[in-house]
Amino acid sequence: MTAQLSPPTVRPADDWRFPKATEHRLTNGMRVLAYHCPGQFVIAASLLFEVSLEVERRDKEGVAALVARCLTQGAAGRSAEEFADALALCGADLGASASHDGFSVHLSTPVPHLSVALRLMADAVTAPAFDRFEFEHEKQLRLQEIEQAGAYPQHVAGEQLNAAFFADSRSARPIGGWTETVEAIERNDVATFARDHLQPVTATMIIAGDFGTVDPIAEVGQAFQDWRHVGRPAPPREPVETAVSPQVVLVDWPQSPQSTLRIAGRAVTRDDQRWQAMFVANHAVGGSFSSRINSVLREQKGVTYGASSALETSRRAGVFNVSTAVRADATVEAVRDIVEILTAATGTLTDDEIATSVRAATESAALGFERAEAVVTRVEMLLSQGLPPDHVDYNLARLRAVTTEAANTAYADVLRADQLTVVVVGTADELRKPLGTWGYAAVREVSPELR
Amino acid sequence: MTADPTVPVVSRTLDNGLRVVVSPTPGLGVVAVNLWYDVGSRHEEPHRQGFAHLFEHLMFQGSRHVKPGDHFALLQGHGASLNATTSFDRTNYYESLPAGALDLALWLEADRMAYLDDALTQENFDNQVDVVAQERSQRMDNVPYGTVFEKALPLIFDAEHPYGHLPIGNMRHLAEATLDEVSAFHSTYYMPSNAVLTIVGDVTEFEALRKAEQYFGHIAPGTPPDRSLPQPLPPVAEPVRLDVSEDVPMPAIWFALRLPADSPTGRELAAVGLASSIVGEGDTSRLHRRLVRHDQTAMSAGLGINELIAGNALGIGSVHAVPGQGLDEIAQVFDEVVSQFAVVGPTQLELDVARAQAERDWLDAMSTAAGRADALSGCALLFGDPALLNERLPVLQAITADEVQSAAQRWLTSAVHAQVRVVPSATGQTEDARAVERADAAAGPDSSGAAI
Repeated sequence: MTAQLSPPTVRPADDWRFPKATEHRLTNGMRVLAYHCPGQFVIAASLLFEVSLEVERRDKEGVAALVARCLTQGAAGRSAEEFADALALCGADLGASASHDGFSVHLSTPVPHLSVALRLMADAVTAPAFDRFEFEHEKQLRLQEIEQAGAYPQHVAGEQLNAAFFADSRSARPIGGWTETVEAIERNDVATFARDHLQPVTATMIIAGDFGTVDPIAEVGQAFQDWRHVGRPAPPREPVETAVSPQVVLVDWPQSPQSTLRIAGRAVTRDDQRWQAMFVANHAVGGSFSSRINSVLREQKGVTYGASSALETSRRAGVFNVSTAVRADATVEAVRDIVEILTAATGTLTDDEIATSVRAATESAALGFERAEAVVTRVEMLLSQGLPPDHVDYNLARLRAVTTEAANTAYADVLRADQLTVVVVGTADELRKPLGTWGYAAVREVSPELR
Repeated sequence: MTADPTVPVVSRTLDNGLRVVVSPTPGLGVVAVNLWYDVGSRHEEPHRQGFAHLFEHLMFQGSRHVKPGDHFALLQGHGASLNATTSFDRTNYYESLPAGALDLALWLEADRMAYLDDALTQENFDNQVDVVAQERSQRMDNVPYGTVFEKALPLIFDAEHPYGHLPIGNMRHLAEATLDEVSAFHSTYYMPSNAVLTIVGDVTEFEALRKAEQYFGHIAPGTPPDRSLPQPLPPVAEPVRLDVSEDVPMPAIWFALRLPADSPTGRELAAVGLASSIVGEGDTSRLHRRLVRHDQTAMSAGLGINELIAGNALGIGSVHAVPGQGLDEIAQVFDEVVSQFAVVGPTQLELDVARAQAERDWLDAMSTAAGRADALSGCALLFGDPALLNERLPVLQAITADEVQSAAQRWLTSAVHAQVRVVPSATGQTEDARAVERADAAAGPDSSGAAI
């Protein structure tokens, strides 16, 4: 036997479909979507509440994130430690998080412990203790976390990008607030937020796993059916403004061996007709290991461990975001390379690139949703962005139909390479002058701390 | 209502010595291919720290029938996820893909196992030396606390010890390396008889074994390297400590410990694992409750184990202090918590929690074809039998409170810690490390693994 000289043929992936939901509505208004995923013995569940961070008072931003921290610190007569023990005995994880588009409580637990774990989840949501000691402790931890995070260049680059890109909207500012706003939050603010915004009529339970003989709808019903509560109606959401003028933001990080970069432009939301074509275009330009950006910066020039772009979305804004960290003395060249690649991509995406990107985006579906948690996370994201839970199959069908022409048209239409926001976290004394000479936009120097 | 996590296992050794492990999951639509080579950072020459990981990068630069860059391009182009990691004990190459692309993955893996040399060039070698240097910067040098683990290792293992340095290695060593050394490394370690190939997912046992033979059967067996392991070391004889001043936001302490090596039954290390889980894992742990909740002197506190086989395994703990809190007091409390645990042993509740957590971690790890493939490769390569995978959880569940207590007494108490204390520097810059006990803390790589 000898070696085969050329790649074997690949049999096209089977026509994969997203698991079908079993849907139910409890009498208190809570919606339940259950997904049976064979072989997934760790059940994933997420209770998503429709609430936007815009409901936070400007001087107390971060209250939703603090509610998320405090929610699991004791409930229904159990102290924080008793509550943690009860969860741990189930091998369960329970946590909560706030995002710009929603507030969610996540549970994962092996299937034999599902009943008990769901009741604990219901206790946290419907009867949180918000104990004074626990509140103060979580608040202190959050303040320390803010200080700690400010020492990580990747974190600072992300925050500075949001600040520059999203102008004056809530998205410009950290989800978890900053030192001044968190310091201003009182226990009552946390309790009030939970009372007003965590209510069954705006809640959807998304649950997935191998349920065996367990009826997930009945289990969720038993845990949550007695929850009677009406909070405030969700206020309308304001439009999100994004930057349309080119910007170069320089954050001083003295003597760093690398510069951390974010280069972003306005893109589209997932409900936009151009989403799929833009998704495929992004894959070719920066969304994969073999993309144009990574090929130049890593595989040709060796100035980075990796460079990639992604389409990031919230309900009302889409961002095309390139992120990388590059050798300090190659910073300006790398920034220019990226902008040149983005500019040159207009109208030049090839048939081969697009065919490969379409296959990559669609044939990876079975793999991407192998875990129950991935199914739950995707449905949660879709609902929070105002899309139906069966959007995955619709999206896949449209992705398969993307042509080279459609990808080129969408890219040219969406990405304005002359209107990017460039954030550089690196040694300002070395970078100030060459970034200015480049002439893309006036260089604005900002302090690493957001104010 | 039972979750049956038993993983079906079939294994066979090809004539050339390649161990093939198969675990079918009919109807999954996905297949995972996983290769473990019996070479990691512990096999490196003392003046070539980081070479195994650099070599791993070069495995993606093409081989006789594969153009540079095509490994990623072809697989990602068919919807695959892939990467490789280099650890202390082994190098792992893996891809998860739609079942129809299995042949492609096997062909690519076989070509680089057999014929890497043909594609090596000075240009792609130099390029990957640069990329690895940037990997180190991004993961370690430009990150607060990023090099602390590296500084801790030489405190418990001599420089010549297999675990005396991290897989990411020494960038000066790599800059001095030559292309010839890459070829030599390939012929020393990369051969069927020094590897395990695992195929998990939507493929029958028959088809998987047939394809393994089809793509790998022609490769010459080679002469496997010496597989002898160093003698186990006892816990360090006396506490060792290194103080450093760096550009970090808050003071912190890292603890490093010698542990008993992992083994086919793994019972002693599993007992240490349960002990360290009770003492230092999650918000029910003793360290968290004492330092973070009760004393409120720390933001976080934890202790974990790194399962290794060459004489010893490795324990790593860390505490991030609240600003203004003294590290002396924190270190003292850390010792106190561990010593107290060694005296009284676990409560029933603690033992139940640790077992529930272990079961859940197991189910999580087994929830993807890639996770099962990786675990099977590990048992086959490190312990000689992939079927041992299904014994790991029962062994752990059978460990008694007495065993946990004994393990803590022998391996976790204060007398056997090495510490690295990190305090924020006044200048914001890293100052010279000042060794309190031993003098030479230098050179090494990333956490425990480095991906391409």
